[in-house]
Amino acid sequence: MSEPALALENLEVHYAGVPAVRGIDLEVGEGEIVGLVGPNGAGKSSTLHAVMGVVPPAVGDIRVRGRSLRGFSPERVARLGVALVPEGRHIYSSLTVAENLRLGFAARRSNDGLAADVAWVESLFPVVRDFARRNAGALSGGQQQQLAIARALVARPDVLLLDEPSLGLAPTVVETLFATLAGIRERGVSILLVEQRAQMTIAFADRTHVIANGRLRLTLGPGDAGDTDKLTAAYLS
Amino acid sequence: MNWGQAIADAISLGALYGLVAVGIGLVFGVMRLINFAYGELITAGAYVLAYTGGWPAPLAILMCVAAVVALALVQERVAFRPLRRMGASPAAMLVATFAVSFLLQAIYLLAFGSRGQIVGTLGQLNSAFTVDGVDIRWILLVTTVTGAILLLATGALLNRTTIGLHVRAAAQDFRTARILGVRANRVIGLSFVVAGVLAAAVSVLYTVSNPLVQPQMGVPITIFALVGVVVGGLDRLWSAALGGFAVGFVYGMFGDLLSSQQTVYLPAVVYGSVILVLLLRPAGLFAPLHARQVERV
Repeated sequence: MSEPALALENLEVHYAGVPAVRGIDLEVGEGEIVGLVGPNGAGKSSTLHAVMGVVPPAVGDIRVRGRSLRGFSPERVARLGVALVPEGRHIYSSLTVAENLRLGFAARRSNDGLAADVAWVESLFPVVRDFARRNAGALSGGQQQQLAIARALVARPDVLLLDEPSLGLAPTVVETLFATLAGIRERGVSILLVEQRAQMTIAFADRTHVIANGRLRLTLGPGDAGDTDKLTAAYLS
Repeated sequence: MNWGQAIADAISLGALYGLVAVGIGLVFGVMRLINFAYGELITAGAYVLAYTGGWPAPLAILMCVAAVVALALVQERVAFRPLRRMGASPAAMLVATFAVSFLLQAIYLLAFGSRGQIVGTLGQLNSAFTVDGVDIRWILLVTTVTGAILLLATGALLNRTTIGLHVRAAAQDFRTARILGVRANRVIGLSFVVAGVLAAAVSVLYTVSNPLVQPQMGVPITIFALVGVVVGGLDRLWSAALGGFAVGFVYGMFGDLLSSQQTVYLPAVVYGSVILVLLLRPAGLFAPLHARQVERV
């Protein structure tokens, strides 16, 4: 039996002793898109930060293809094939678009196929080619989001973590973004999608976990997208 | 003393302090840490030169660079990295750099004595050539040219190479850089190595005009360069370099033009102008108008 691309086992994250994530189990299989939705402060970003090694897990474990990430620094996690598109994009506004993209190469395990990967990313997000020499700070919010995803993809990750990629984007742009994520999955990338837009995520992802107060309350499939009662109950729990 | 000579002195002193300012600014950019023990790197380099007086100059200089870079890396590994790992506050890190500074001064005192050692390396550069009736010592020219070359080389390293790109990214947003796979230790190590090379260059150039090496030699150099860094603006390397140059230039200029009775007031005037700059342009004299304010510790 093959190991899941990403597995969280009884994960707890504490900030100064205060629990933000209180023991969650979650798996993302190879080529799967798994959603994680929930209200503000539910522990969504903390979960992603723990995976990236930005905060150490207080309890539990995180495994990538069966390998424990305990005690790994963010750069080591990145070099193992996990890429995070952080909330708020965190684009380097004083660097050019091309330089931002080049930073994504840092986590690559090999430079084989680099040109092909860049070409693929440029076909997904033409803005990174068209505005290559422009300062990234001059891009619109949606373009910056595209650059942030492009930067994560050129690292050629096995697992892509997205932290509220639709934040601040117009609804039509969000639809395009989700369609692009489906295309990224076609390349075998496993995706953990953290979102505020619950209905859209539930309809889109293979399955979606609802997190509230640091615990998983509910797991929904695309068929449950219309079932707002369950979702509301989970949000309020 | 005439104007031509004063300007020549001022430019070379400006280049020297520009180098120190970049060395301090580079580490600050990546770590948000002002390394007060930077001057002790310069002192270490000067001692190496003093004790390799009989060697051929290139060999002595090579030894000096190697020793200073090694000491810079030791500072990072032994003092700053463990604190960084523990998540020490910026204030604690700053105090640690004071501790390292005093520790090194005490070690120099015990090892080399308080009376001072004399550096003879490149002493021949104190001879002068004459342009339009102005006597210019070779060291002034060498300092200015070396300073310019090293600053340009540092700029090229940062702007033209991948590791340089990583350093610039880390200076802007360290956490995101690490998430992208930029190796923190490597980027910090590189900035300490470059800072060490610049410190060694200052050791070589400074001791030609000031051959007496004492344990505290590096302290006023650091403080003065820091004045330049603060005046120029910490957030960009070139503004820090310009600030260092400006302070060195002003000091060299007035040091030459004023009588010794008047020069005793010079440090007071320089420090007073720092307070003024911080009040009026807290982001620095050469920072862009709308610059985001740098967190100062």
